[in-house]
Amino acid sequence: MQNMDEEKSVTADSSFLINIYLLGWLHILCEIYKEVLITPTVKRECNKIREKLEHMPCITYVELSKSEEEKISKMLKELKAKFPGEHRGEVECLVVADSRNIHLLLSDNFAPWYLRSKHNLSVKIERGYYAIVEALEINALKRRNLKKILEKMEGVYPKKIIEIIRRKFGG
Amino acid sequence: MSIAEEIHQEYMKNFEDWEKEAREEREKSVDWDKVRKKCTPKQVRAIKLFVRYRLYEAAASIAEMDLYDFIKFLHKLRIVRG
Repeated sequence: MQNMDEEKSVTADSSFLINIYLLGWLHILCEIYKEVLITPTVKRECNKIREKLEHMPCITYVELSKSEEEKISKMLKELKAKFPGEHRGEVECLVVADSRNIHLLLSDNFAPWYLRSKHNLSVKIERGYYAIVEALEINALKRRNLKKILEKMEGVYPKKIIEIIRRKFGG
Repeated sequence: MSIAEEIHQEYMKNFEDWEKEAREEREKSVDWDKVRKKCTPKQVRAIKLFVRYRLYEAAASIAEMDLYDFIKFLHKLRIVRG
């Protein structure tokens, strides 16, 4: 089966990885993408699924450069002034995607959208459903199981998106 | 254009409306009586933040929970994450 994005590298944040793991579909990542970059904080936040990630050939753990660290610190300050709590993981992903010109950031978290808009970044961000749709397109998730796939997505992704996927794939 | 790309463009075109709709879905899914009964004050605060902004990692840190456990906790409470 042809891999539609065999040259594509992406970054992925922790919430996306854990959500796709809980859906039972972590395996689709290596069928879709050449490389999925994992930053140090995402690695730590995904500790409970680390064993699964370490057996996936497309998973690449990355270190941050000094200039990336500086950008992360700056963005974290801005984000913490607006939203409480910990944001380092998703900010690392956004900065790595931006500075390394990675095609896509897979994120189920709102913060990267906010920062991208605020900083006018050109990084393409997609929610987890993007990878699921790509998997359906190459049949890494079997289209004949569309009904069950959409049922599993309920509660994890917006109803609107689930309806659109149903419509696009003729379910 | 791939279907993933078509949906992405549709999403971006309607970003604010669809995000608002998703937030309303999250809000409707919360049984606050149950949440107050079953959760610590920090977890209640975390759930409020999550429902409003879909900030997974931030909410988990406020709840003082591991992210994986927090996501499972939301699922157990039948709080939608869309």
